[in-house]
Amino acid sequence: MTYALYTGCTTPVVAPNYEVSARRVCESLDIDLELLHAPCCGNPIKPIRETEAVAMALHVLGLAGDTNLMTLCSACRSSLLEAREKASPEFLDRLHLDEETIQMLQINHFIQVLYEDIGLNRLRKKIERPLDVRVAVHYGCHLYRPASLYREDPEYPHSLDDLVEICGAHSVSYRRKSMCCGSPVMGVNFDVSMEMTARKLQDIKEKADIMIITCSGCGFMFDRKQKSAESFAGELNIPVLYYSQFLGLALGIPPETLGFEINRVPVKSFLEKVLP
Amino acid sequence: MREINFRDADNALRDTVKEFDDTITYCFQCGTCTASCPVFEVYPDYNPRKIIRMLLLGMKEVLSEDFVWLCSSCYACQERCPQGVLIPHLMRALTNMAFSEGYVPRGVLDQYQKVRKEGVLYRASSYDNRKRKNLGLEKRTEEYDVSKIFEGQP
Ligand code: SF4
Ligand code: SF4
Repeated sequence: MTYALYTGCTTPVVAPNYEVSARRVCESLDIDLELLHAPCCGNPIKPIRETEAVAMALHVLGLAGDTNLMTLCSACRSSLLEAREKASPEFLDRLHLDEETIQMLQINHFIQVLYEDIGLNRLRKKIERPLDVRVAVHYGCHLYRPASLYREDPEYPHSLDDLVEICGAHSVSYRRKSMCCGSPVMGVNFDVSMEMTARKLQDIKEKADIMIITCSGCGFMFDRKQKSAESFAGELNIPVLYYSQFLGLALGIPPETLGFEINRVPVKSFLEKVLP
Repeated sequence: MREINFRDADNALRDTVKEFDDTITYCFQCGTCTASCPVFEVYPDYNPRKIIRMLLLGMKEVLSEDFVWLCSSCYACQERCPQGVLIPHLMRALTNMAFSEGYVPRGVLDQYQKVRKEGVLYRASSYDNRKRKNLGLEKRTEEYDVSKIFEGQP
């Protein structure tokens, strides 16, 4: 199975731990990745000029040619899918893109590749190191909403809960599970965005040992900005792992190759707990 | 309570919004969107139900309000709206219009200019690339000329 890996522009800089662990996991599952050199997906410019954002996303799709795409960031995937839905034949023509190739392309998120292409049963058989911890999963909005673009229940998604539980963990329920991380609001009103992040982390604090995420935008808030969120929520200290890091551990991949040194909130006590 | 003067209503605004997305006309003001909104929860000045009402009433002053930029596009409201209103899409139409009228928060404009100029929002510095190297990842130094993408754009 081969995918073009579209990292977007945020992950390589903000979340190289996500990138490295996802690539290690793919390697161990025989998913071949070809790095796609391409600019931003257009998501950050949507509020100002949506047509330009759509053009950027379609440009990225054009660069993929006929190799199916895998993204790590959920916002990237939603931009790409949305743009394809909106693209009229005339618009594609103006960008010199072939409509049929664009429509045929699969645009998948890393989580979806694991869940749909590999599947829970095959993954379960590969678990070498069960991780007996309480986990709070945060899907991130664009992993499953709007329902018209994805194959999950928009109120009760379960792919990520399932993926966490096959690793031996318990996925807990918590109050603001479906709520946004706040990252899109950061450029408009920092305090509002931090308050959104803080409230979610507060809900998780008593319920889980760690938080699991699937998007570098969410990681920016929950991990990199957790210290700032503490001024709204008091002490938090909740380790935040990308699912790829978590699965990597469960698959028996050496922890020192999964990018844990990049995690901002210390993960040492969690690692000591689960590693022999 | 604020008085609404219908003589000031801007029908052109209402029509532009409808043209962009006519689902707005189905809104019956139930407030489900507002009740689902994570931004409203922490900042009640941002109230999607009210914004929709203001648009339908042609209240042009909504364009200059800072709060209209706060929608995080999380789609929680859209999944629950009993009338099928495409709310985040409308909010985007609204900010696009606000921008055309000259209103835009600094942070959002900075992002826009950066992406248009460099093709990326985040560009790897030499420090970032050292971190990447230590992880066994390749350097990311690509530069993108994205000006062509924007040529011929309306
Ligand atoms: S949920 Fe839908 S119908 Fe109800 S107020 Fe919001 S947009 Fe209008
Ligand atoms: S999409 Fe926007 S308006 Fe709707 S719930 Fe999310 S933040 Fe609120």
